[in-house]
Amino acid sequence: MKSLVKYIFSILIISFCISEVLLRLLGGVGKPFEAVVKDGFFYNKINTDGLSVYGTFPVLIKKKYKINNEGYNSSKDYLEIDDYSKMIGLVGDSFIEGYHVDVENSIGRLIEEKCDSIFVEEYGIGGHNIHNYIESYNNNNMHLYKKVYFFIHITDFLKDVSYKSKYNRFKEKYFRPLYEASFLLQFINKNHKPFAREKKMNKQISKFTKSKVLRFLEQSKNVSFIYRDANVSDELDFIKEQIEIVDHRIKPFDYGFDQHWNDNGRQNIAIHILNNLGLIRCQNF
Amino acid sequence: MIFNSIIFIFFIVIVYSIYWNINNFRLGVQNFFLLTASYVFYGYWDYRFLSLIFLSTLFDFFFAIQIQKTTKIELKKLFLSLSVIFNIGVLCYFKYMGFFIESLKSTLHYFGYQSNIDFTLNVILPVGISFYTFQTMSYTIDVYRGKLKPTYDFISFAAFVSFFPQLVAGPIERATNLLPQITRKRKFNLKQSLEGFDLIIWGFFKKIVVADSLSPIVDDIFLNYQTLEGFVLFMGAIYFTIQIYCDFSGYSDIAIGLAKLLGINLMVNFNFPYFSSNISDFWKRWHISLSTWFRDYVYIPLGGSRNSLRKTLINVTIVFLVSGLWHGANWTFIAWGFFHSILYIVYSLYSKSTISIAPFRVPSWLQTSLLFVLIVFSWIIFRSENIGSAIYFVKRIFISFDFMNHLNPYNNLSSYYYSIYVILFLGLDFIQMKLNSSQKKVPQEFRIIQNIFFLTIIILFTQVDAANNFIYFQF
Repeated sequence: MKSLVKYIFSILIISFCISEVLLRLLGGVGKPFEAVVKDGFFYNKINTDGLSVYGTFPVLIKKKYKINNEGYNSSKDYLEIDDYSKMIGLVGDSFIEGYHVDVENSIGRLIEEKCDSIFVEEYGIGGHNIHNYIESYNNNNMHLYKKVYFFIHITDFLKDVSYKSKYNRFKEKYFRPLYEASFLLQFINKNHKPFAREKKMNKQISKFTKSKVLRFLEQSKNVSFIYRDANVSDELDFIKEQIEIVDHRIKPFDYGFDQHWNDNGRQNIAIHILNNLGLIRCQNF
Repeated sequence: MIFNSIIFIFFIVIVYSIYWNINNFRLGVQNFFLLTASYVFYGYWDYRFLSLIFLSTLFDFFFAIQIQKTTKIELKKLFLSLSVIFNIGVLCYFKYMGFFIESLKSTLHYFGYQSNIDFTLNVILPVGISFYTFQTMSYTIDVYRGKLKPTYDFISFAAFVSFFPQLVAGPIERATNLLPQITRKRKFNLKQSLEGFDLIIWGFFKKIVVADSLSPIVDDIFLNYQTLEGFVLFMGAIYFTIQIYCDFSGYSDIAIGLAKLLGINLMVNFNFPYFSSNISDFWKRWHISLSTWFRDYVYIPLGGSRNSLRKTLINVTIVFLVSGLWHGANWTFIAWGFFHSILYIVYSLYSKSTISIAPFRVPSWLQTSLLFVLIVFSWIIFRSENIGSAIYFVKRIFISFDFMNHLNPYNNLSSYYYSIYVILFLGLDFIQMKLNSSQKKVPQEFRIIQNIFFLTIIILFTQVDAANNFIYFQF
């Protein structure tokens, strides 16, 4: 039996080595996002860029990303603002972060491309929820903006605290160097989620979150909520008036593995926002 | 638990290590462990249906002993009938009840009766039910026929019924082959294990690299067949032809390979069927465990080919219709079986007659190609939602024939891109067939290189996100 185990291990190791070499030669993986630790939590490392790659052969997604001076995926840096009346804020999770499209094709850039009289800043981080959105709004003086759109989903309301990616010393100290050195590990991590089983989530919104959101909306008149899906969950009835449903006139399809849209979804949102702002007749549209 | 998941890799490593380490203990201990592992394997999907396997095991164990014990032929028949009724009853309840009710309603409606049947059955189809019920049924039938003595060792029998490598999608083993291997002590055999490993790698290659890669384009084409052009539809049908073969035979290869690692030889289930030169040959090579099951337990008891030609043809038709129904509760499967029965009958009549349509001898490659095209059309019926869709699909291939390209919306790849998988796979399958039929021993170095090649491709091609289920799980 020992010889069988030896045989299987040798085959496995040789195959893994060849895969690693092939991946290096064929560029089947992108550059992992760089991160920094602050107060025990992880944040995107500012002023970095790279390629986000998903999929096997053929690669499904190979898109450019750029982390700007504020730590958000955006092709432009967020500098001091002269005229707030031209500013639009987009706040959300990974849909706004948008690693699935080229950073130049984000919703913000699409809007600016169609209408050059406004400027859009995107504040999206994967995993963020409504509490993070409110924090972003408050920390970035967004009450001064012409309009701010929160890109929401029912799942954003199910927790009572904001999301933060915790620093895991073991993972970062021992696994990350190995992960960054190995294309194969990155490839497997990006392309396989075999343990991903549906998590049982609490589907009710707490009173605390409800009252916090209602209080926030009362004080922040320039905020609108844009709902990701066509059907809004009944749980969100308490903010029904503030929710806008997007007309998905171009069918947004996802790649099956993470439900994120392709460019079509972003086009729809951009058009919706321009409509909402009354800028649909903007000269570049 | 499915084979193409990480959890299964952990499972098999643990099971394999313990299995051979307890080999020195009593056989009962090893079989009890095998039984436990099989129940864990199945229960990981849905533990509630373990009770169904257990009941099926218990009843057939008991009935087989009673059949052996009693000397009265009427009682033997009674116990056999009870076993068959139980197994078929379970199968009908879980798999066909809804279908029968719907068909009854439609028939009544067709004849102008307004049916008051307001009964719908919302039960989950237990995975592998068609496989293990057939396996246990064959056991009692073989005992009744005197081909096999019943076992009095319940643990071994339960391990035979639930043997995890082939529990959910076959091969449908015969007790005459598998049970004796379970009731005697297994010895570790390096040659057998290496063969098993080769088969596992080849099976995974077929499933992960070929079947799963073709899956999105097949789904897309069969979903949007009403708007697509004829050539794309035909390509979609070819893709499904390859997908279903790689998916199912891939599973069988992995199952046979895993069994070999555990020192057990299962029957061959596929023997390069797409290289058959006629339909009779095809059915000797496709899903062999099922076709031989129907031959032994349906066709021969019906009289086989011993009676008149007319009776033989009726028997053939019955077997194909039942075989179609076995695949699922839908008229498309029955129509698929009927289509094959027509092909089979036409071929049988032609091969027996002295008339020759072609003025020359048709080369075997042409026969194989023609058969392949017919098989492709049969899979359209099999894969379509209903018979109407299948007819429209086929009609569009002919009336709307155009080479216009179609992009798969999920990845923007041309539908023609996927033909690479078909060509590559058929080439590899052909080489495998030649190697298998060759009398020469394949050098060990070649096998190593082959395994490394396949494994590397598997690593690089494994599908995004969670693993795809095997198609035959639904049957």
